[in-house]
Amino acid sequence: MPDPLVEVRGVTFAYPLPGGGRTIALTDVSLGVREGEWLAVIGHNGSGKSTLAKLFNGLLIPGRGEVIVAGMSTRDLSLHREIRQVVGVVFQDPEDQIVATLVEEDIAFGPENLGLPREEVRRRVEASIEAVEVGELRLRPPHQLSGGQKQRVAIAGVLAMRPRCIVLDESTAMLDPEGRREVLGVTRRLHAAGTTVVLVTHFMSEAVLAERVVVLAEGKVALDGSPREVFAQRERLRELDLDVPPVTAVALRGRAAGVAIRGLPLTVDEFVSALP
Amino acid sequence: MDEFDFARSVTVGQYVPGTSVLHRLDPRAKLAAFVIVLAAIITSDSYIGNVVGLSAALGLVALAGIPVGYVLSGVRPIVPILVVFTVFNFLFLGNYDPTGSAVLWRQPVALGPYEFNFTVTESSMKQTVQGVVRIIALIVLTSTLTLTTTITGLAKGIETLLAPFRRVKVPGHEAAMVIAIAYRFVPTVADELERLMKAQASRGADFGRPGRLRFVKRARQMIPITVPLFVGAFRRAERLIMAMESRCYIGGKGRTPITLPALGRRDWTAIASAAVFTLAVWNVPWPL
Amino acid sequence: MSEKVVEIQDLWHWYLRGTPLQTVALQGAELEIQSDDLAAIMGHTGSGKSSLIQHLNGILRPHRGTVRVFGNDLADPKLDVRPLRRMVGLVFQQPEMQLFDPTVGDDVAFGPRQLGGTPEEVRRRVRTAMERVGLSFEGFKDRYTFGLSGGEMRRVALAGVLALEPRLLVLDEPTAGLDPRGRRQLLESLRTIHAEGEMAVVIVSHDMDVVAELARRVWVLAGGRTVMRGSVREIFARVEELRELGLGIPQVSELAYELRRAGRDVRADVLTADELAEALWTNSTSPAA
Repeated sequence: MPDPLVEVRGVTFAYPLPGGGRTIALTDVSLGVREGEWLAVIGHNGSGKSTLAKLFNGLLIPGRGEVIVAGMSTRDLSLHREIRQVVGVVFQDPEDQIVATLVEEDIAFGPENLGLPREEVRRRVEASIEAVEVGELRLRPPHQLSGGQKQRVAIAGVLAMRPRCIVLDESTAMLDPEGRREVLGVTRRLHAAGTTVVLVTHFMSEAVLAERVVVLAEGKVALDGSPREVFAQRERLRELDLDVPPVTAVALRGRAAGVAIRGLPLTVDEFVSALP
Repeated sequence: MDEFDFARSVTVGQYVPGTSVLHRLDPRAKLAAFVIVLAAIITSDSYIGNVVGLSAALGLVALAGIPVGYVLSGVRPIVPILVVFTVFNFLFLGNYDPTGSAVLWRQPVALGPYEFNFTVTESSMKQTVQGVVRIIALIVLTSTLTLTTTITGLAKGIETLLAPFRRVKVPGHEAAMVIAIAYRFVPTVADELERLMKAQASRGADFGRPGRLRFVKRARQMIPITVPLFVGAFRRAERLIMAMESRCYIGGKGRTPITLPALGRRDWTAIASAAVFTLAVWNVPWPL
Repeated sequence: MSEKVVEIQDLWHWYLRGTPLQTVALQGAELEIQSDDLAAIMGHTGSGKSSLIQHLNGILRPHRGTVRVFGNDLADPKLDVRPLRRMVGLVFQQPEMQLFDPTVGDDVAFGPRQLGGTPEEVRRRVRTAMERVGLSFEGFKDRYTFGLSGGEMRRVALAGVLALEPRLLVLDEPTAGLDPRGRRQLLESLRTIHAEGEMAVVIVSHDMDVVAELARRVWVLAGGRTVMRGSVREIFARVEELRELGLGIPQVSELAYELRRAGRDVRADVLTADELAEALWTNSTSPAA
């Protein structure tokens, strides 16, 4: 069993409050992300999920415990440059990630920061533009783009760093359904091509796309398993003020009524084929 | 009736695509020429010299193929300030004339226990008039620069020109980055401003009729706009920093250098013309 | 006894009219709101829904067509819109961004103070508004506005509009960015406001599940026009049309539709998981859980 690409070991993190005191965001959290895996982290605002996302690339350093990325500890500030080429993070606000005045210049921002030769920068920009399909937008200024387009540009900017793992920190929360489809479509393609994906979200419908789901509640890991394993525990989820996808809820009611439903459907298609 | 429709006013001073000689110059040449001509305008000590400077600036506008009226409309917002500046200087500057030039007009004034003079000397008159001409010329010249150069061009030009001074700690890259980021967010902030004004108006906020001069009251009425804008700006900056750091931004050190194509004959001609112009303005013995 | 409070017919509006960047935002939109309505306006980004609701309190004026709100004709250039802004409370997207007073109570009081009430009157309005959104008056009135959580700040902003005691409350994407818990709390508040406040409530939303949960009547906009209107059940049963418009549907409606296509006999107009489960399993031999 190879080492996980990203390992969170016994991490505790607290934010200082204005006026003294601290609020604890994560308490003794441990989990590992394997290379090539698609992990979904779900939880409420305040569950610590965004804090976790920022710990993955060293934007935050744990108070206690370690975060190890490809063998490097995020406590070592001199390694942050390397770490951020392994783990890239796409944030929630589509507007405030784009720095340059033109799309293709913004995608070049990352590689330029690494001091790569011009030719290499150009190569990476082209590859990223193709991966997220923003070719016709390359000379546009960011304010002319839709939310979904902006997030795809943000993803391209992160891809240009050639990371092994992409963390999407609630990247669809501010998008309309079409934008969300665009971003999830790109994510699927990236994962199929071998990129490790960590999707932090509070949409259950997004969590079902993952291979593994971790539920955070009040700074601790409450559930960890495949989507089917996690969503089978409806009672536990309801205790945490969460719920299962609607189709799964219907299926669970059916099961309880004695109907022979094959497996646990998580999507509409699965449900239709699961009925006797 | 469309009281909130002001996206159109955000275009003043921004790049207007074109094919004029000025548009096609390298940004470094334009920046260098800009600084040189500016020197002429700011330091010339004759009335005619200053007017020549202003005319040259307006001539450049025409050369760029931009309507002169459009550029001068950028001066309109500061006319009130100019008027105040002119009136105050006109009335009081003469009291502090170190050159001892001839007094053209003096009027003693008594306000209660205070006594002072309105004084106009030859020297103070010249300074007042020159001040106004210089400010207008500066605005026209700067507009010509920003109207004919893309922000990317300007940023790259500034960064390349200041690059050699890196070893004496001149932050050329950082300056260029700040300008580029500020520019990039202008339309975004304009949208936010529009939304904010609509939202506060929906709560019954009244921003007063335009044109009234009750500055203090107006400033207070704008608090529901200015505070959220600033808070929003800080939050935005925080998020931007996180995104930039996540892509390994640490300032200019170690970044891929910006490359611009070599300066061509046209560019050197522009710089040389600016130098010739400035030397002429300095050395011609203007009668006035 | 309900009466029509909003009547919009053949509404046209251009953005940046008279400039080279002119685009049409609305081309013949329609809308009708009754005084006891709990309605939703759905549509893509760019369908014109935000432009439509901004006509309701006079932020935008019609360029062509009729807009009548509480008997006021918005096309009349002599109309003073300020009284209208007390009757129609418009809450924009991410309203927490418009908070400016460091004290919660004072920010909520901004609107009432602009109306010019006595201090007691202002206090009463602020108290009622805050309680309605689930913020205890005593507990929150002296809190530091910018120290609250995002969800709390949103409720403060909502209270600020409620404090005007409007008869029509319009909210643009009220649940955008909220987590499931925050969403549930907000929708509950809106239901309470509708019932107790005796006001019509209209939301604009692209979240189908929110519309299915809250609204009774739905208006669908596309390309600046009203293309569908009806009760929420009727609208979500028309899956094909909604798909063609590129709009999503609540997962439950989609499931019912696909089951019918696969030959199952189940109601088309279900909205919740429980309803669908009832429809499917009521004939089973074991009692439902």
